[in-house]
Amino acid sequence: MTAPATLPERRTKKNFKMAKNRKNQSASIHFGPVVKVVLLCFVFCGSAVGYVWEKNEINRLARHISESEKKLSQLKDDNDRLANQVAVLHSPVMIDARARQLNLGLVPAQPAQVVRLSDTPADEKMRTRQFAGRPTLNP
Amino acid sequence: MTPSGEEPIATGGWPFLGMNNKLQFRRATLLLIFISLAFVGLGFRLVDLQVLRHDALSKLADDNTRRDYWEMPRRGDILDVNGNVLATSTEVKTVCADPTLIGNQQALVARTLAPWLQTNEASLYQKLLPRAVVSKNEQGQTVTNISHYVRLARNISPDTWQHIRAAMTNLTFDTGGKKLTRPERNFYNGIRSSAVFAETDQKRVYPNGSLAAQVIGFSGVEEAKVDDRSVSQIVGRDGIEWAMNTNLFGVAGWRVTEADSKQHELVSMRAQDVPARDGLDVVLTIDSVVQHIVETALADAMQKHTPQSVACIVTRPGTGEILAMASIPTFDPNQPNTISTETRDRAITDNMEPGSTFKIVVVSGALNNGIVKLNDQFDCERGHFAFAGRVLHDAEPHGILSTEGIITKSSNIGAAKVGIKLGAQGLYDYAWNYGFGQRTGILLPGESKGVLYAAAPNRLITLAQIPMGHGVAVTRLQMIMAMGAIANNGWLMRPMIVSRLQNHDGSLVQQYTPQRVRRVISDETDKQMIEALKTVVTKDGTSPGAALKNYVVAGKTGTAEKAGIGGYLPGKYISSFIGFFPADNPQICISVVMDEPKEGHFGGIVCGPVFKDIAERCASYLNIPADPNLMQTNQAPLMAENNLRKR
Repeated sequence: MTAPATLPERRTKKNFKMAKNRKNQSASIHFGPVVKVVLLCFVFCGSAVGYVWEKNEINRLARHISESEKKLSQLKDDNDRLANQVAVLHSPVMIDARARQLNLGLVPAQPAQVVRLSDTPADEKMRTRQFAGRPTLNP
Repeated sequence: MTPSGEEPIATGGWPFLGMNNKLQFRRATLLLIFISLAFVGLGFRLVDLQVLRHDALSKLADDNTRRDYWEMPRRGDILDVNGNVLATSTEVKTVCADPTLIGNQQALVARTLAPWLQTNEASLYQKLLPRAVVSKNEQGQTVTNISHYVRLARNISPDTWQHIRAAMTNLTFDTGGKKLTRPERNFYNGIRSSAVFAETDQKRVYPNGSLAAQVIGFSGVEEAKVDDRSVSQIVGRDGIEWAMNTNLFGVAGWRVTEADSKQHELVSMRAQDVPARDGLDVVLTIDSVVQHIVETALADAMQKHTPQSVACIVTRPGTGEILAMASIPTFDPNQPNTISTETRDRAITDNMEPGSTFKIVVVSGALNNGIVKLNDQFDCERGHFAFAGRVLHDAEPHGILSTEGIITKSSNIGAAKVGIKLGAQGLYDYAWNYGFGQRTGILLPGESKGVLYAAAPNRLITLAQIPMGHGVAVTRLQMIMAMGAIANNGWLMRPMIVSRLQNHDGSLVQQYTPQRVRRVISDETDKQMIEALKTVVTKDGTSPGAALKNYVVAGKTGTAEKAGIGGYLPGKYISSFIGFFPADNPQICISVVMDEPKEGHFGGIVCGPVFKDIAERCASYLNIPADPNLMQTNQAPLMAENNLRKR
């Protein structure tokens, strides 16, 4: 009479399909799944952190753009204001009044006081400095 | 324990779900039904919100967060030919308030703002009171709302606005020393931070004051409705400001964006951002120095002769460019209250009978047709000539005069006889060809075309009247352009007032070029006319006072009786002098016209010296080469001094 097979022995038979009992598994760590899980965690966490960082950057840059726009606008306004001051100081009315006020004795130059250079091209002889930038009519 | 795979035991349930009795099964089923119903409810709500009420709700959500901003363009500058600024725009603030945030603190806010806004405290108080606004909603129903917007003051400088902000932020309220509740604190903080706010606006500034005011014109503020919102914009009212308004205005930009609960823009949520395109700068042919010379000379003439008005135009005959155009009385466009009908641009709006300056038309026409020659003799009838039932007079009696002499002495009778020879149709044709009876086409509003009647052979008297500058009405601009045609070898030019359009950085957008209208007289006739016109400023002519020391001047005087209701007004004249120099190579043409001068009335006497004053100063500024023949006889002190040193 043979002794009945013990239960573990029966479970090792090839026809037995149930999952292995963890207690009977090897004690060695399977690094593959661990790495996969860690990587997956990194991906998810990285994505989340990246998303937050990106949003934060967008907000920071938006504030920066807004501030820069205000600054630019302010500079443009200052520029306009200074240009207006220059325009006032350039005004012939202002210059004339100032010259009179300072009593500098300025008078218009007489034609005889103007020395003309003779190497001016013939067709340009009659074009004065003030007319130099003005249009001409070609017949 | 029930073995797996067996039928449910008598107590009911589903063993494979771990529910081994009917009670558990029922509970689970109920829960399932409840959850299913909840999901169905949620699904229905989802469909209701996202599909059925999608449009209304998305609009509501948009209204809460979406903000549309209009960005108004900067109005372009007006510059003179050398780039000096004649008109520009500067940023100002329009101070506004939300009366709903002020509660019952109107008196305190008004007292705080009044000194900065330079306005009456009582009127400010009235503006700050809440008011109902009746409007119609989308369904066309009348709706009454409390206005959240009131405009307190315009054209406030940014510096003043900073002071106002500081004053509002530091506002202290009389709370009676009691501890404030949170709503009260919010209310007072709302007044300090949000009740008074500012909108950015523009103000038109004219740095030269009244210089070239009639050419530049003036501007005003106009309210325009954009997307049911009121937007204020600067529009031209007169002059170049009006004529070139489209170019000066630019194109508005816009921004579609979102704002947070504190109404701060969320820059990252900008959906559309189209910047405004600033208006173009308009560069005129006006030279501000020449303009200043003209205006000071006119002011002196106004003081001396106290006319109703005096006008002057300076042109460049070769191109038709207008270097200066002024008339007094004038105005300061910075002060709109100085503008009236009296300050209009008389050079282009007012018609006048030109008087003897019109003789250039009839004499040049007759010379050009070969009907008369420059040395042909005419009997000037000792100052009395009966023709067509009327008696014509000369200012001084003359005997026999040549055609040139008629110009020199400005004989009405001589000119009438030349006109009779030319004929009614000839007179009309030459007057028309010189540009009378039609607008010159200058880019300024309000130009008159004058009055030129078609030739009427049965009205003989017009043959004698028109040659002496009566029976025809012209503008001052038409007259100088006609004289300019003689200075320009017989070519009539279109007057130019705008030289070019450019961007604010100076890059060219459009260049205006001189335009010939037509040739009126031949070269030969032109030379003869210039020879005749040179004699006007000699001692035998009508205006020796207009002669220049270093330049040969060609010109013509005019003295016309002033027409009024019921005929000519006794003792009232329109006096004029139009001339150009150097006569043989004309660089500039100047017209001076006085309306009702008091001290003297002959054009040569009252306007000739003004012409001389302007011409001398312009020649010096423009550095126009002097006539070599005159230079030898008119040595200036400096040259004489240098010569002495050489010896």
